[in-house]
Amino acid sequence: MQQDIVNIIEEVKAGNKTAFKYLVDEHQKYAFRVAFRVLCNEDDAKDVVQESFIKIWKNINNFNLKLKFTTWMYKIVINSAIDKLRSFRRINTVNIDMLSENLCHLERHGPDVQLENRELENIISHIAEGLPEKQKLVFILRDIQGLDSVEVEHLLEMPATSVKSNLYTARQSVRKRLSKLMACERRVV
Amino acid sequence: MKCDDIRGKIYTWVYSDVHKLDDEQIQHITDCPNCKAYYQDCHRANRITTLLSQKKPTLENPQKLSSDILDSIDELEPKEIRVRFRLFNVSKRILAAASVCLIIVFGYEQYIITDKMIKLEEQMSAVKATTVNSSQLKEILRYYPSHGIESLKSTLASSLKDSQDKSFKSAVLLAGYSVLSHDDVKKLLHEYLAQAKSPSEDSSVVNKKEKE
Repeated sequence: MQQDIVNIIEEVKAGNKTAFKYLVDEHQKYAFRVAFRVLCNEDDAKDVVQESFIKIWKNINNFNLKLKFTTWMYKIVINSAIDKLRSFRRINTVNIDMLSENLCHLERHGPDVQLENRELENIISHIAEGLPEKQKLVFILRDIQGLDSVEVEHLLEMPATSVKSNLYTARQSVRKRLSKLMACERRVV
Repeated sequence: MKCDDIRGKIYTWVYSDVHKLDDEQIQHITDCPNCKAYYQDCHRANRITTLLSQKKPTLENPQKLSSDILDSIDELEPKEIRVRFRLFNVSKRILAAASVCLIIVFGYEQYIITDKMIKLEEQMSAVKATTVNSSQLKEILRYYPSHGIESLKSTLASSLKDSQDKSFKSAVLLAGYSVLSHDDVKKLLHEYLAQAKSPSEDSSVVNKKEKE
C-alpha cells in the first residue's frame, strides 16, 4: 500500500495529472472532514480542500517520500483551514430549537448515529462560536479534531502553558453554553 | 473542603482518565448541589465534544470537488508557461548581452593584435633586405605579440649566431604574421637556418654586414 502511494506520488512529481486525480479521489474526503471540523461550514471546507490540493500540486516536489503522505497533507489542510478561519469573522446563526434536538439526538444515540452536515455545523458552531480565536482553535484542534497537546502546540506555535490555559477557558465556556442550553430545554419541557 | 478545589479536581477527572476522585470528594459532590451541577455540566460537555469528534461529516458530490480541483490545476498551467516563457526571454537577453561582451573583448584583442602586426610590418619594411641592427630588432620585438616575446627572444638569441639576416628577417616576419607558438617559431627558424649554410661573422652582435 505504502509502495503504491510512493509510486503515485512519483508520477505526480513527474506531472502526471491522472495520478494526481487518483490522489485527490483517495484523500479528499479525509481532507474535507479535517477542514469542516475547524470551519463548521461545508462551503468553506470545500474551498479549503481545493486550495490545499492546489498547494499539494505546486509543492509535491518538496514532499519527502520517507514521510507519510496523509500527515503531510493533514498539515497543509489544517493550516489552510486555520488561515481561513483567521481571515474572516463569520457569525453563524444557530437555530436553538434545532440545536437542542440535534444534541439530544447525538447524546441518545451515541457515536453510531449519522448526523447531517448541517446538524454537526449547528452544534459545533454553537459551542465554539464566540470564543476568542486562540481558545476556539485550541478547543477545536484538541477536543474536536482529537489532536494531542504537543501537536496543537506545534501547529499553532504556542507554548504548552498557553495551550493548557486556553483549553481550560474554552472548555469552561463550552460547559456554560451547553448548561444554559440544557436549562432552556428543561424549562421548555 | 472548598468547592473551588473540588471543581479543579472534577475538571481534571472529567478531561483526563488518569486522576480519580477519593471518597471524601465524591461525598462532597453528592452533598453540594452546585458542585454536583458543575460535575454534570462538565461530564455532558465532555461527552458531547467526544461524540462530535467521532462524527464524520460527509462530502457530498466528491466528483464535483475533484473536477473543480483538476480544473484549477489546468488554469494554473498557462500562468506557469508564461512564467517559463518570461524566464526564457530573460535568459535570452542575458545570452545576447554576454555575446556582445565577448565580441567586444575578443574584438578588442583582435584589434590590438592587428595593430601590432601593422606596426611590426612597418618596422620590418624599414629594415634593409639583409641587415638588421639591435635597435631595429628592439622595435620589432616591441610590436611582436606579447605572449611570444620572451620565448622568441631566447630562441633568437641562441640561434642568431648561425643565422643569415635574410632568414632571420623572414622568420620574424612569418612568426609575427601567424602569431605562432614558441615551438612553431623555433621550428620555422630551424627551417630557415637549415637553408643558411654559411656561419655569421659575429655571433654576439645582431647588426651584420651584408655578404657579398
